[in-house]
Amino acid sequence: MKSFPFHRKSFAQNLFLPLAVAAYPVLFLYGQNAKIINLTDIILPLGLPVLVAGIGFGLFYLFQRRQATASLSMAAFMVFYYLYGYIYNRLVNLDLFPVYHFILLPIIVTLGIYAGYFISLVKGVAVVSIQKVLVFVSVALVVINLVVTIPVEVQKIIPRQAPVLPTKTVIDLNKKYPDIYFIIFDEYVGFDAMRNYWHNDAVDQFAAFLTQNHFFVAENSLSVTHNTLSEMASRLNLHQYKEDTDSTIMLAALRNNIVMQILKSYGYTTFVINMAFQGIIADEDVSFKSGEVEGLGSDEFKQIFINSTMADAFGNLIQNNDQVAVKQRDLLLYALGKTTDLADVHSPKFVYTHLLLPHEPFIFDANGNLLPQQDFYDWHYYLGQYQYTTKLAEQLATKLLAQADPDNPPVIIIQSDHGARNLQSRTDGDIVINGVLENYPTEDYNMVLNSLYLPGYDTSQLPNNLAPIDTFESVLNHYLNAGVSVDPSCPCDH
Amino acid sequence: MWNWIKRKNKHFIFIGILLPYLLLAHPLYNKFFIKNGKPESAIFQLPETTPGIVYNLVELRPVVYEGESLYELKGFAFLAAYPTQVNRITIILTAASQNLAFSTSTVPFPDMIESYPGYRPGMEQAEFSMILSNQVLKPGVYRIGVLLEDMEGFDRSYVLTGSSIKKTPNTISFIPGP
Repeated sequence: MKSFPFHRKSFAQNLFLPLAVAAYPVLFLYGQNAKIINLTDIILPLGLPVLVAGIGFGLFYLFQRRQATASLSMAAFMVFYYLYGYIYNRLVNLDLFPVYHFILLPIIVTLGIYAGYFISLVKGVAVVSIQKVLVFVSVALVVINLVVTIPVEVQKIIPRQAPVLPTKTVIDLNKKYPDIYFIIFDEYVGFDAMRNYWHNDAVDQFAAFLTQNHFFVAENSLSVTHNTLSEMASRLNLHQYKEDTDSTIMLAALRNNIVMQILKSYGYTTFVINMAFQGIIADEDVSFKSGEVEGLGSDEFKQIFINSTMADAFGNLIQNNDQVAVKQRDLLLYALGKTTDLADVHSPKFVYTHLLLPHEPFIFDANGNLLPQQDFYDWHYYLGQYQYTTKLAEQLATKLLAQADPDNPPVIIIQSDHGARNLQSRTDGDIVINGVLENYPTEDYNMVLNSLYLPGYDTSQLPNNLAPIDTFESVLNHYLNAGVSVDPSCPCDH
Repeated sequence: MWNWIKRKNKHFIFIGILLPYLLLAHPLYNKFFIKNGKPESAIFQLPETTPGIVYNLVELRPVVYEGESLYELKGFAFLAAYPTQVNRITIILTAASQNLAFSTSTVPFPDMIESYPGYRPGMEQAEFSMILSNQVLKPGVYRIGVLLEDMEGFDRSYVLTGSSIKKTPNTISFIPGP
């Protein structure tokens, strides 16, 4: 029996190549998305291929007995590992014959093993030379990627700059400023769209509820863009950004926004419960770390790797779809519950809640029952989630009003960022793969919910098409006498 | 030749295991691993169509049931003369290659039969759910028939709906009737 030539240093060097090939796609995609997802989100997508590469290298070494050859063989196998999802989806889309994971996976694994076998037939120093070149290339790629990622990670952990107080603030010490609740229901389309496209008159009940409870409802309100970031950055800075403004600029503007700076200067406690954007500068920014809650960002990131690799064949074992929906539901209900459970937060307070409802994924039917994963991105289930969202919005408003101090009632702003956008998911071959609505009018993309509870404010002067960006001009000037106005020179991209 | 085969024996053993697996995997999977969505029986003689059945096939949608990715056909069906009678509802899929009978279960759905103009309380038992596995149908277009039997099995009524299910090698879709 042959003995194994084993040298610890060269073993580590040879193991590096398959590990680097396994890790690079994950690190690359993470680097591109580091601003919006957490480092903990890559544990599964990175750990799985690295584990496969490590075990595979050991097995190739066991049979081939040459470290450099085993290293190259496993690197080649990892290419098949990452191509698997593409091949599977391509064959399914071609639809020429039935494609099953339990058939395709053994075939692709066989091809990967035979790639290693053919590499083992190459003799001499060529293998070592090729392996060394590939190690050099992979080191370079990983280093380049780290150079991109590390500054973003550092930005995440360094203390944020304290808000700059406006110098002209005149605080009336005798005045009790009202609490202000700014609640965003993401993707909640305006009532007219619901009536005209979906023929769902149930919104009339919600409109009546709002009116009976003295909300002003701007039924013809439109967002300028249909992009969440540009809308939120604009409304909280009284400065309309364009849809295509650099997202870095808008994200910075949202995180250190003028409205919250002004409120802070008037002694407000600022409290953010934001499922869409983290890192907003506030006294308290409730964490929605996707790694902890398996919310949206982490799931999409994991899903990309599960769906595009050999892990796709074991998708149901790796990720329980029901658990995803349950966690998403828990996350939403937590955000709603937290919004009405802030008695211990010092008043006056500004509470900014951003709920990913009725935004995708569509996990609820009209009664709040959880839907199966196949429906999560099918727009035919938007209506059910919208109806359940309406019930939640009504409960939220009822609870806030019930908790209100009669001598100093709160301001409640319930808006959506944009309307329903009927977003399409497409494959590389430009085939729409999710359910989309037919003949859906594009003007409804901008039709928003805009309802304001403004105690002591003569809302009869407000127009029915009140622009969402004008909200804080009215609120800050009326209740704080802040003397602010919306920047008239915009839309701008700076 | 024999020496060459002996030299390459590892490959022959490998292929010798892989090929039978590839050939047998699908039928074995269907037989032993698919638990839900299989037909109750194959039918060779279709029942005669009878008048007086009110039906509505609402949708065919993907669902995950007991860990399996399946499809659910939802709808309602009842006898116009006896709208609140409890019936056993069977869906019969008819194609050139095969006729398959699928049992259904009574599942009340919100706002489904209530939309029927003649609705009255007690008709919810006409709402049904049929579970279908993507893997049991051969490619083709299957016309959907609804068979109603009273619980004693004396009276049978059958209607061939205008709706159908289209199965391609990897997709399944519902084609509503006119």
